[in-house]
Amino acid sequence: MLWNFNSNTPIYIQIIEQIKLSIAVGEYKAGDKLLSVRELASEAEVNPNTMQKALSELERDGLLYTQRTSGRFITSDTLKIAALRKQLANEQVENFISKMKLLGYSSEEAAEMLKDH
Amino acid sequence: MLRKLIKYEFLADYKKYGVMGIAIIAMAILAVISEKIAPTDVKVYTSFFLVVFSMSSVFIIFAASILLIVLSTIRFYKSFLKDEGYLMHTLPVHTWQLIASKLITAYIWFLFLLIISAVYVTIIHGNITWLTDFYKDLIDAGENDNLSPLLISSYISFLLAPFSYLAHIYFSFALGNLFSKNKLAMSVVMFLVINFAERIITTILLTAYLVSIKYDYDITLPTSSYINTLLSIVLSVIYLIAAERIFAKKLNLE
Amino acid sequence: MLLECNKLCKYYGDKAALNNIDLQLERGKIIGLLGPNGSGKTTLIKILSGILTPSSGDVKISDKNIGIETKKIVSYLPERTYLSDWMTVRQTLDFFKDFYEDFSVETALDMLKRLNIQPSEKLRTMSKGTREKVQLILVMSRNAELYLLDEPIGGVDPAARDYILKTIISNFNENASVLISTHLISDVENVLDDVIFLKYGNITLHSTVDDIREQHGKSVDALFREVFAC
Repeated sequence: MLWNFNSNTPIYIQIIEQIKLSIAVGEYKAGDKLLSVRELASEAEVNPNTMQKALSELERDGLLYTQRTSGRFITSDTLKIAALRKQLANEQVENFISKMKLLGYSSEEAAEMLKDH
Repeated sequence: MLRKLIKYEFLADYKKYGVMGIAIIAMAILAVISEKIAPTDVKVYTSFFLVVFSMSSVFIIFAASILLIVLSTIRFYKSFLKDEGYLMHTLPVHTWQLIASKLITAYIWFLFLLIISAVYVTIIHGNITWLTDFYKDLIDAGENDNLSPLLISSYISFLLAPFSYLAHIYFSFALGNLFSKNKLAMSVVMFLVINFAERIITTILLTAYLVSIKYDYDITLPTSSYINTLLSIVLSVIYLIAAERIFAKKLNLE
Repeated sequence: MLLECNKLCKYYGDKAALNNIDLQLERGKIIGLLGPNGSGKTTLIKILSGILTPSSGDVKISDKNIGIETKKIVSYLPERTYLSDWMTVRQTLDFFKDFYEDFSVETALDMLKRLNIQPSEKLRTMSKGTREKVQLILVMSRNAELYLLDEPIGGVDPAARDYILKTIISNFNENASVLISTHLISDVENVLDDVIFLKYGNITLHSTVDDIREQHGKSVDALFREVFAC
């Protein structure tokens, strides 16, 4: 996985976002096994505690689960993944609309432009 | 731990001393060969050679002592107070072990150079009569009550010279280390100060002693030489302990 | 608590290099010690490693006063080269093995191999950068409790810097902490849990990197530039 961090938001939030995106686009598939915290931290060149924090949060959201003996996996719940995809898409739409509003377009005009695109 | 420290002390300088030892022996062999192959009609030259040889024995011992002083001082300074000190002082060993390892290694080199010098003299003379002569002198001196204490104490002083010199050096560096600036320069100053103080103490004690025995020369000479030696031993021990305490409690590497 | 400093002071003559430092560090953290030149970073690290004696105050590492017992559990990388140049790399490994019970020769050999450094090589013939790498390998191959790294990435190339950071990340454990002093903040920012800002011998900030980003909305590097702007 390719990691890329900006310098203004906490790293663990960025890790969460990037892993969510990887799951949504199918880079990580349902039921895939994740590398260990240390390996992931080393790959992303971040602090292992930060990686741990991000993964715990994803676990709380139900996107990851831990099996005591064999490690950490992506959820096999495909509905959950679909919901995640939807959620990320919604965020993009909201983002798009708010930017358009900033430029002086109404939601309808924005939708029109999107259709023509 | 002390043994390990001595091992690395030894490894650090063995090449330098080894080269010096080989050079001294090589010089002796060369001198003997050149004397042997010199044509007999140039007797003047051979006798000249002989004079040079007998002088060079003294010179070699002198040079070896200088070498020991220079190398052991540099070794102490570099590995204790410069960059290498960052490694040595963060090892989990006691300060006295660090100091003892240097002292013991330096003494081993002293004995090594002593043996090399003896080998040199033996090669130059072509026999070991110098050793038996030396022994005879010692016995003769032993029979002369006035001379023997002087001789014995000077031999003791000679054998302890590396200790008293290094104790002096370590203590100077320890005192220099207490200054917040110009530590090396202050160490040199301290070396001179200690020297001066030592002279004064020795003179005062000896004068006091001479006054107390009312200048009775029959006992003055032998006993004062003993006092001198004893004093130098006591001072060396004090220097070493003081240096150890300072480095253990007040170390400040630049 | 892994490290505790109380009212720690260090004077050089009448100039204070450290001024009443109170500091506590937990285990399992990577902490950045940040500050401009002359702020007291190196002085603090040298006191913790035992080669400087504090003027006053007290320091405890793992509840022990600085001495042999702390030297056993502290792994210190100074900002200078401290290895004797007559040694080969292999000999430096033996040296560390001889004196530190927690030193792993296998770990060190493995790291040397990855950085293409031959154990038979003599330190005398190495470049300064390579020597620094050897020192870092030695220091990180110990299973210590407190690692003190003084400017570990100062003189090395970007590829080596990445490798060094990865080494730090993968070699420390939850029982240990790493204190890294540096002025190259953006290079290390992502690997840090906490940061300490030092200014004229005083701690002006001790916070987590996440908190700084959340509260200030900017990187530690940016905040640092702001705080220490001339």
